[in-house]
Amino acid sequence: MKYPAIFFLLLSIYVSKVSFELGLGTLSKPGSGFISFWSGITLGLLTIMMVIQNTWLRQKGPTKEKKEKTKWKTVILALAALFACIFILEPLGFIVSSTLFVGFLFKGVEKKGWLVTIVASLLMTFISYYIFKVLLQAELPRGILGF
Amino acid sequence: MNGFSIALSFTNVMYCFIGCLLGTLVGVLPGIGPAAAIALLFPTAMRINPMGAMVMLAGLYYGAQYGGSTTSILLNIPGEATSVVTCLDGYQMARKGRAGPALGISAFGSFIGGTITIMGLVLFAPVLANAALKFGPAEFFSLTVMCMTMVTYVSRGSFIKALMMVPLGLILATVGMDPHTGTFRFTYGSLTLKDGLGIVPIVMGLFGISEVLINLGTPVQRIFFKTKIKELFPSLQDWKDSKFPILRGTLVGFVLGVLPGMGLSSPFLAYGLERRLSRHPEKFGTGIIEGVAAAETCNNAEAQAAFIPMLSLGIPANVIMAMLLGALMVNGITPGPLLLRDHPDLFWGLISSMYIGNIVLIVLNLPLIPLWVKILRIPYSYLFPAILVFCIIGSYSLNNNIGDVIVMAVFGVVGYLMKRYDFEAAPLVLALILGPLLEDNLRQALLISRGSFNIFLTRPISASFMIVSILILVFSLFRVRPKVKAADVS
Repeated sequence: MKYPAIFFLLLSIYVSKVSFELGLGTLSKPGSGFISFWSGITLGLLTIMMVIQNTWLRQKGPTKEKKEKTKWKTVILALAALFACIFILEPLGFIVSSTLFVGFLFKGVEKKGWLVTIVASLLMTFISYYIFKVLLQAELPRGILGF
Repeated sequence: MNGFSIALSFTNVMYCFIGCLLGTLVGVLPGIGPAAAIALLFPTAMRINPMGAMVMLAGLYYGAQYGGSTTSILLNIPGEATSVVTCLDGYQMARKGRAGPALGISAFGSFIGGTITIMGLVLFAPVLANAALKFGPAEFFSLTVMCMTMVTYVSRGSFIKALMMVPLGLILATVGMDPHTGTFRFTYGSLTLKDGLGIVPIVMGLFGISEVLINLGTPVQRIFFKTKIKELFPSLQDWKDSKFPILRGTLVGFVLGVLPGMGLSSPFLAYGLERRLSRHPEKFGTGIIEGVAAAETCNNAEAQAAFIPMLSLGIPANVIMAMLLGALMVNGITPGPLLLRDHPDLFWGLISSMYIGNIVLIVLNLPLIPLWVKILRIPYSYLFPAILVFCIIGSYSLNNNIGDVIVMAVFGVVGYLMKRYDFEAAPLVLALILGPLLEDNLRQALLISRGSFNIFLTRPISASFMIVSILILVFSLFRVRPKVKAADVS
């Protein structure tokens, strides 16, 4: 719980500082930073309470539940693919970026064969395109293909 | 009757059907919940009229409660969090070759529970809305505070961690332009942030993307119990055994569904109640129909009762209601006491559509069970790329803005880390949605009282909400919290 506590404490200090600069106003006329300032302070206090609670519980010797081992590589690969897809979405367009994204998930993450990868990624992209763009008239990035 | 004439129009029946169908599908598929599904459908729903959108999204929500039972009974994996208890007796019934009656009583129980609850909704929502017309900013502020504390009170794990999510949600809610002064807060020159953080990308990230990442990181082994599904219609004896559990399940679901945040624990309570009242409590968990009937009736009654505070007070009882509230607000409709007066067609049309939805669901559920079973066999490795692509499309098509997709992905990571470190997303989302309401009412109340916080304690209704909030906080800090899940089910 060390990293979340550090993160929330830093966040609470930062939010409180920025909110203070935004202006707290008066009690009869609260300013723009009023809610976020007090939310930041509350977040900080609760974080300290969480740290105290955890330290106290650890001293009492709690039985820590054993969590299942996480496949970090899979998670990171999927996330990296998602951010890469966002990065290329507008320049290359939906069809190209979605095909590449799904293809990577099938080949790089799920280790499927090339045939499955190519067929499934094309099929998934065109089905999504048909449902959202053609049937539901949603706007999707056109990119290099122009549609 | 006007409500029925609206709900029975061809387009609204179609939206209801689509919502119920998608809801059942979402309920059947573990790994995608109704929150993520509603988030996915949100941009599409915004393109149709508010009535159709609400009918479809509501159908998806209560449809998921129906569908959730299928995986609980056949796979011992709850499709929805509210179907956890159904696993206990439902799966055991399937092992004994009684999957049919278990699925049948789930569908019939859900139908009865849902229908009775809608009658309650018709009776209570207008009364509550009329009472709420007397509410001023102080009352609404206190009610919002009570709603937030109740949601954190019933959250799993550490109360402090759940409580921390409330100020975090409020901070996120302040991002964008201050409507009172026009000042930009936490925007850093970004156009996306200047409009405020969108609810949909955040919910998609917190519930959709994070769920995919969790499933990829720690895959769930699905053991499909092979059984022939026969005799979907429960026998006369099954009905005799189930009639009182169905009625009591409806009552528990109705009462707890109205209270913010209590919905998730209602099937556990209904199940615990049946076990205590039963002449043979030792048989619970071995595959008896009473256990399935109580839990399934209760979760559907709860899902529909949750509409009461949302429609009449503008206060969501859970995350899904918060999203539906958001859907109304995007359409320029403010839910709350004035909804019934200003938009009676929408109010009564939606309620009437729920009657129709319950009929659609029973028709969908029983004959289509073999189809749902087939869908259950789709490997997750083929599902998750589709969920991710839908999330990208959903968040982009909202405003045709890549910034929303980035927000969704960032909150996907945030949601994943929150789940890893046992922080709950529900209080955060609720605070994010209710944040503007809370801030606006606080400012107005303080303006009226010339800066005195006494306004929240001197007005009787506001004071009572505040007292409940304080009691919840005190009880929680002294660890007097409901342990129904562990105690009643073990």
